[in-house]
Amino acid sequence: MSEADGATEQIIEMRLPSRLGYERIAMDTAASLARRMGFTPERIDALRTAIGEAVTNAIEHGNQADAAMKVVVVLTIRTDELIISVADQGRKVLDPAQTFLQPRITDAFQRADKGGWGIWLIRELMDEVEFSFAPGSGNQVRMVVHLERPPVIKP
Amino acid sequence: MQLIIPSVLGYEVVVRDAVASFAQRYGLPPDRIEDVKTVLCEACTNAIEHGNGSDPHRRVRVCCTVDEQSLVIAVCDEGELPPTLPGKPVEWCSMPYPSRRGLGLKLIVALSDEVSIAADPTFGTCIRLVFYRDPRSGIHTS
Repeated sequence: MSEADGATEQIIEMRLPSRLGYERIAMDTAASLARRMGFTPERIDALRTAIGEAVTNAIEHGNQADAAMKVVVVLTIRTDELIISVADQGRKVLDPAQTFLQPRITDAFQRADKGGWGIWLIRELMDEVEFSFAPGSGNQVRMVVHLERPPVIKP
Repeated sequence: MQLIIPSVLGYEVVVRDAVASFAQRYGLPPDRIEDVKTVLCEACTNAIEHGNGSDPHRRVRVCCTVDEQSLVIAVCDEGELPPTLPGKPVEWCSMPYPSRRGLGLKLIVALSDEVSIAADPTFGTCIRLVFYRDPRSGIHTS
Protein backbone atom coordinates (compact mmCIF):
# COMPACT_ATOMS: atom_id res chain seq x y z
CA MET A 1 0.00 0.00 0.00
CA SER A 2 1.40 3.41 -0.94
CA GLU A 3 1.58 6.36 1.41
CA ALA A 4 -1.31 8.01 -0.44
CA ASP A 5 -3.51 4.93 -0.02
CA GLY A 6 -2.61 4.72 3.65
CA ALA A 7 -3.94 8.20 4.17
CA THR A 8 -7.35 7.51 2.64
CA GLU A 9 -8.03 3.93 3.71
CA GLN A 10 -7.63 2.14 7.02
CA ILE A 11 -8.29 -1.46 7.85
CA ILE A 12 -9.53 -3.30 10.94
CA GLU A 13 -9.40 -7.07 10.88
CA MET A 14 -11.33 -9.43 13.17
CA ARG A 15 -10.74 -13.16 13.40
CA LEU A 16 -13.54 -15.06 15.09
CA PRO A 17 -13.93 -18.73 15.97
CA SER A 18 -16.89 -20.42 14.25
CA ARG A 19 -19.14 -20.50 17.28
CA LEU A 20 -22.59 -18.90 17.37
CA GLY A 21 -22.56 -15.84 19.57
CA TYR A 22 -19.45 -14.32 18.01
CA GLU A 23 -21.63 -12.73 15.32
CA ARG A 24 -22.85 -10.43 18.11
CA ILE A 25 -19.32 -9.21 18.75
CA ALA A 26 -18.84 -8.52 15.03
CA MET A 27 -22.13 -6.57 15.05
CA ASP A 28 -21.15 -4.50 18.09
CA THR A 29 -17.69 -3.78 16.69
CA ALA A 30 -18.99 -2.66 13.30
CA ALA A 31 -21.68 -0.53 14.98
CA SER A 32 -19.07 1.16 17.18
CA LEU A 33 -16.96 1.95 14.13
CA ALA A 34 -19.92 3.12 12.01
CA ARG A 35 -21.11 5.42 14.81
CA ARG A 36 -17.70 7.10 14.88
CA MET A 37 -17.69 7.41 11.09
CA GLY A 38 -20.92 9.41 11.30
CA PHE A 39 -23.50 6.93 9.99
CA THR A 40 -27.13 7.53 10.99
CA PRO A 41 -28.72 5.21 13.59
CA GLU A 42 -30.92 3.62 10.88
CA ARG A 43 -27.91 2.81 8.74
CA ILE A 44 -26.11 1.39 11.76
CA ASP A 45 -29.09 -0.89 12.49
CA ALA A 46 -29.07 -2.05 8.86
CA LEU A 47 -25.34 -2.68 9.08
CA ARG A 48 -25.74 -4.68 12.29
CA THR A 49 -28.37 -6.90 10.70
CA ALA A 50 -26.37 -7.46 7.51
CA ILE A 51 -23.15 -8.31 9.37
CA GLY A 52 -25.02 -10.55 11.78
CA GLU A 53 -26.50 -12.51 8.87
CA ALA A 54 -23.19 -12.71 6.99
CA VAL A 55 -21.22 -13.92 10.03
CA THR A 56 -23.95 -16.38 11.06
CA ASN A 57 -23.92 -17.85 7.53
CA ALA A 58 -20.12 -18.12 7.64
CA ILE A 59 -20.21 -19.87 11.04
CA GLU A 60 -23.12 -22.23 10.39
CA HIS A 61 -22.87 -22.98 6.68
CA GLY A 62 -19.41 -22.08 5.39
CA ASN A 63 -17.49 -23.43 8.38
CA GLN A 64 -20.15 -25.95 9.50
CA ALA A 65 -19.88 -24.59 13.08
CA ASP A 66 -16.41 -26.08 13.54
CA ALA A 67 -15.02 -23.74 16.24
CA ALA A 68 -11.46 -24.32 15.05
CA MET A 69 -12.28 -22.71 11.70
CA LYS A 70 -12.02 -18.95 11.48
CA VAL A 71 -14.35 -16.30 10.20
CA VAL A 72 -12.43 -13.24 9.06
CA VAL A 73 -14.20 -9.89 9.07
CA VAL A 74 -12.31 -7.06 7.39
CA LEU A 75 -13.60 -3.52 7.86
CA THR A 76 -12.15 -1.05 5.37
CA ILE A 77 -12.68 2.55 6.39
CA ARG A 78 -12.72 5.19 3.66
CA THR A 79 -13.72 8.83 3.92
CA ASP A 80 -17.02 8.23 2.10
CA GLU A 81 -17.79 4.55 2.69
CA LEU A 82 -17.34 1.49 4.85
CA ILE A 83 -16.55 -1.85 3.21
CA ILE A 84 -17.21 -5.02 5.17
CA SER A 85 -15.88 -8.31 3.96
CA VAL A 86 -16.83 -11.56 5.70
CA ALA A 87 -14.93 -14.70 4.72
CA ASP A 88 -15.13 -18.28 5.91
CA GLN A 89 -12.89 -21.25 5.21
CA GLY A 90 -15.37 -22.93 2.90
CA ARG A 91 -15.96 -26.34 4.38
CA LYS A 92 -19.23 -26.04 2.52
CA VAL A 93 -19.20 -23.99 -0.67
CA LEU A 94 -22.17 -21.70 -1.18
CA ASP A 95 -24.15 -22.38 -4.36
CA PRO A 96 -23.99 -19.14 -6.39
CA ALA A 97 -27.63 -19.63 -7.42
CA GLN A 98 -28.60 -19.31 -3.75
CA THR A 99 -27.32 -15.76 -3.63
CA PHE A 100 -30.01 -14.62 -6.05
CA LEU A 101 -33.00 -16.37 -4.51
CA GLN A 102 -36.03 -14.28 -3.71
CA PRO A 103 -37.66 -15.89 -0.68
CA ARG A 104 -41.42 -15.62 -0.41
CA ILE A 105 -43.22 -14.98 2.85
CA THR A 106 -46.07 -17.36 1.87
CA ASP A 107 -43.57 -20.21 1.50
CA ALA A 108 -42.01 -19.34 4.84
CA PHE A 109 -45.39 -19.77 6.58
CA GLN A 110 -45.47 -23.39 5.41
CA ARG A 111 -41.99 -24.23 6.69
CA ALA A 112 -41.03 -24.99 10.26
CA ASP A 113 -37.57 -23.55 9.58
CA LYS A 114 -37.90 -19.78 9.28
CA GLY A 115 -34.38 -19.32 7.95
CA GLY A 116 -33.33 -18.54 4.43
CA TRP A 117 -33.71 -14.76 4.54
CA GLY A 118 -30.12 -13.83 5.30
CA ILE A 119 -28.74 -13.24 1.82
CA TRP A 120 -31.92 -11.48 0.70
CA LEU A 121 -31.72 -9.21 3.77
CA ILE A 122 -28.07 -8.41 3.09
CA ARG A 123 -28.91 -7.43 -0.50
CA GLU A 124 -31.83 -5.27 0.67
CA LEU A 125 -29.88 -3.46 3.37
CA MET A 126 -26.46 -2.76 1.88
CA ASP A 127 -25.59 -0.39 -0.98
CA GLU A 128 -23.35 -2.86 -2.80
CA VAL A 129 -23.14 -6.62 -2.28
CA GLU A 130 -20.87 -9.10 -3.97
CA PHE A 131 -20.45 -12.81 -3.29
CA SER A 132 -17.39 -14.74 -4.32
CA PHE A 133 -16.48 -18.40 -4.04
CA ALA A 134 -12.86 -19.20 -4.64
CA PRO A 135 -12.11 -22.92 -4.48
CA GLY A 136 -9.87 -23.65 -1.53
CA SER A 137 -10.21 -20.21 -0.01
CA GLY A 138 -13.79 -20.19 1.13
CA ASN A 139 -16.87 -18.08 0.62
CA GLN A 140 -16.70 -14.33 0.82
CA VAL A 141 -19.28 -11.58 0.91
CA ARG A 142 -18.25 -7.99 0.34
CA MET A 143 -20.70 -5.34 1.45
CA VAL A 144 -20.43 -1.59 0.99
CA VAL A 145 -22.33 1.16 2.77
CA HIS A 146 -21.97 4.73 1.57
CA LEU A 147 -21.63 7.50 4.06
CA GLU A 148 -24.27 10.06 3.22
CA ARG A 149 -23.62 13.30 4.96
CA PRO A 150 -26.42 15.82 5.35
CA PRO A 151 -26.25 18.52 2.68
CA VAL A 152 -24.44 21.62 3.77
CA ILE A 153 -26.67 24.67 3.72
CA LYS A 154 -24.85 27.57 2.21
CA PRO A 155 -25.69 31.08 3.37
CA MET B 1 -10.95 -13.74 18.98
CA GLN B 2 -8.36 -11.49 17.41
CA LEU B 3 -8.57 -7.85 16.36
CA ILE B 4 -5.99 -5.98 14.32
CA ILE B 5 -6.05 -2.19 14.06
CA PRO B 6 -3.80 0.43 12.46
CA SER B 7 -1.77 2.65 14.80
CA VAL B 8 -4.14 5.57 14.57
CA LEU B 9 -5.61 7.12 17.71
CA GLY B 10 -9.38 6.61 17.80
CA TYR B 11 -9.36 2.93 16.89
CA GLU B 12 -8.66 2.00 20.51
CA VAL B 13 -12.29 2.98 21.13
CA VAL B 14 -13.51 0.42 18.58
CA VAL B 15 -11.34 -2.25 20.23
CA ARG B 16 -12.72 -1.21 23.61
CA ASP B 17 -16.30 -1.69 22.40
CA ALA B 18 -15.48 -5.03 20.75
CA VAL B 19 -13.84 -6.42 23.89
CA ALA B 20 -16.58 -4.98 26.13
CA SER B 21 -19.11 -6.91 24.03
CA PHE B 22 -16.97 -10.03 24.38
CA ALA B 23 -16.58 -9.57 28.16
CA GLN B 24 -20.32 -9.01 28.59
CA ARG B 25 -21.13 -12.26 26.80
CA TYR B 26 -18.50 -14.03 28.85
CA GLY B 27 -20.43 -12.96 31.96
CA LEU B 28 -18.07 -10.50 33.58
CA PRO B 29 -19.89 -8.21 36.05
CA PRO B 30 -20.69 -4.70 34.71
CA ASP B 31 -18.26 -2.91 37.04
CA ARG B 32 -15.44 -5.19 35.93
CA ILE B 33 -16.34 -4.52 32.30
CA GLU B 34 -15.75 -0.83 33.01
CA ASP B 35 -12.29 -1.76 34.32
CA VAL B 36 -11.59 -3.86 31.22
CA LYS B 37 -12.55 -0.90 29.02
CA THR B 38 -10.29 1.53 30.88
CA VAL B 39 -7.35 -0.88 30.92
CA LEU B 40 -7.77 -1.75 27.26
CA CYS B 41 -7.88 1.89 26.16
CA GLU B 42 -4.68 2.59 28.09
CA ALA B 43 -2.93 -0.49 26.72
CA CYS B 44 -3.98 0.24 23.11
CA THR B 45 -3.06 3.93 23.38
CA ASN B 46 0.39 2.93 24.67
CA ALA B 47 0.80 0.42 21.84
CA ILE B 48 -0.28 2.97 19.20
CA GLU B 49 1.71 5.94 20.49
CA HIS B 50 4.75 4.46 22.19
CA GLY B 51 5.17 0.96 20.78
CA ASN B 52 4.37 1.82 17.18
CA GLY B 53 5.20 5.53 17.26
CA SER B 54 1.78 6.37 15.71
CA ASP B 55 2.94 4.89 12.37
CA PRO B 56 -0.39 3.96 10.67
CA HIS B 57 1.30 1.13 8.77
CA ARG B 58 2.21 -0.62 11.99
CA ARG B 59 -0.48 -2.80 13.50
CA VAL B 60 -1.75 -3.39 17.00
CA ARG B 61 -3.04 -6.90 17.65
CA VAL B 62 -5.51 -7.64 20.41
CA CYS B 63 -6.17 -11.27 21.23
CA CYS B 64 -8.92 -12.35 23.65
CA THR B 65 -9.27 -15.81 25.13
CA VAL B 66 -11.44 -17.15 27.92
CA ASP B 67 -11.57 -20.18 30.15
CA GLU B 68 -13.68 -21.08 33.17
CA GLN B 69 -11.75 -18.75 35.49
CA SER B 70 -10.64 -15.76 33.52
CA LEU B 71 -10.63 -13.47 30.51
CA VAL B 72 -7.15 -12.97 29.06
CA ILE B 73 -6.41 -10.08 26.71
CA ALA B 74 -3.06 -9.70 24.96
CA VAL B 75 -2.25 -6.35 23.34
CA CYS B 76 0.77 -6.54 21.03
CA ASP B 77 2.55 -3.79 19.13
CA GLU B 78 5.45 -3.86 16.69
CA GLY B 79 7.80 -1.95 18.99
CA GLU B 80 10.85 -3.32 20.70
CA LEU B 81 11.23 -1.97 24.19
CA PRO B 82 8.87 -3.38 26.80
CA PRO B 83 8.12 -0.75 29.43
CA THR B 84 8.74 -1.54 33.09
CA LEU B 85 5.59 -2.20 35.04
CA PRO B 86 4.99 -0.45 38.33
CA GLY B 87 4.66 -2.73 41.36
CA LYS B 88 1.39 -3.73 42.95
CA PRO B 89 -0.17 -2.24 45.05
CA VAL B 90 0.24 0.88 42.98
CA GLU B 91 1.51 3.88 44.85
CA TRP B 92 -0.45 6.89 43.73
CA CYS B 93 1.31 10.17 44.31
CA SER B 94 0.61 13.61 42.99
CA MET B 95 3.11 14.35 40.29
CA PRO B 96 4.29 17.73 39.14
CA TYR B 97 3.10 18.74 35.69
CA PRO B 98 6.17 17.78 33.60
CA SER B 99 6.22 14.13 34.76
CA ARG B 100 2.70 12.90 34.32
CA ARG B 101 3.98 9.96 32.29
CA GLY B 102 3.42 6.43 33.44
CA LEU B 103 -0.09 7.03 34.74
CA GLY B 104 -1.54 4.67 32.13
CA LEU B 105 0.58 1.73 33.27
CA LYS B 106 -0.36 2.42 36.88
CA LEU B 107 -4.04 2.30 35.94
CA ILE B 108 -3.48 -0.94 34.03
CA VAL B 109 -1.76 -2.58 37.00
CA ALA B 110 -4.28 -1.26 39.52
CA LEU B 111 -7.37 -2.44 37.61
CA SER B 112 -6.26 -5.81 36.19
CA ASP B 113 -6.07 -8.99 38.26
CA GLU B 114 -2.77 -9.98 36.60
CA VAL B 115 -0.47 -8.10 34.23
CA SER B 116 2.72 -9.10 32.50
CA ILE B 117 4.79 -7.64 29.68
CA ALA B 118 7.05 -9.56 27.35
CA ALA B 119 8.97 -8.93 24.14
CA ASP B 120 7.39 -11.29 21.65
CA PRO B 121 9.75 -12.24 18.81
CA THR B 122 7.00 -12.28 16.17
CA PHE B 123 4.80 -9.40 17.27
CA GLY B 124 6.94 -7.03 19.32
CA THR B 125 5.89 -5.95 22.78
CA CYS B 126 2.95 -7.84 24.26
CA ILE B 127 1.09 -6.86 27.40
CA ARG B 128 -1.03 -9.64 28.85
CA LEU B 129 -4.02 -8.62 30.96
CA VAL B 130 -6.00 -11.08 33.06
CA PHE B 131 -9.45 -10.49 34.58
CA TYR B 132 -10.96 -13.14 36.87
CA ARG B 133 -14.56 -14.03 36.17
CA ASP B 134 -15.33 -14.09 39.89
CA PRO B 135 -12.92 -11.83 41.75
CA ARG B 136 -14.04 -13.32 45.09
CA SER B 137 -12.72 -16.70 44.06
CA GLY B 138 -9.51 -14.75 44.51
CA ILE B 139 -6.11 -16.10 43.89
CA HIS B 140 -6.07 -19.06 41.60
CA THR B 141 -2.88 -20.62 40.39
CA SER B 142 -2.69 -22.21 37.02
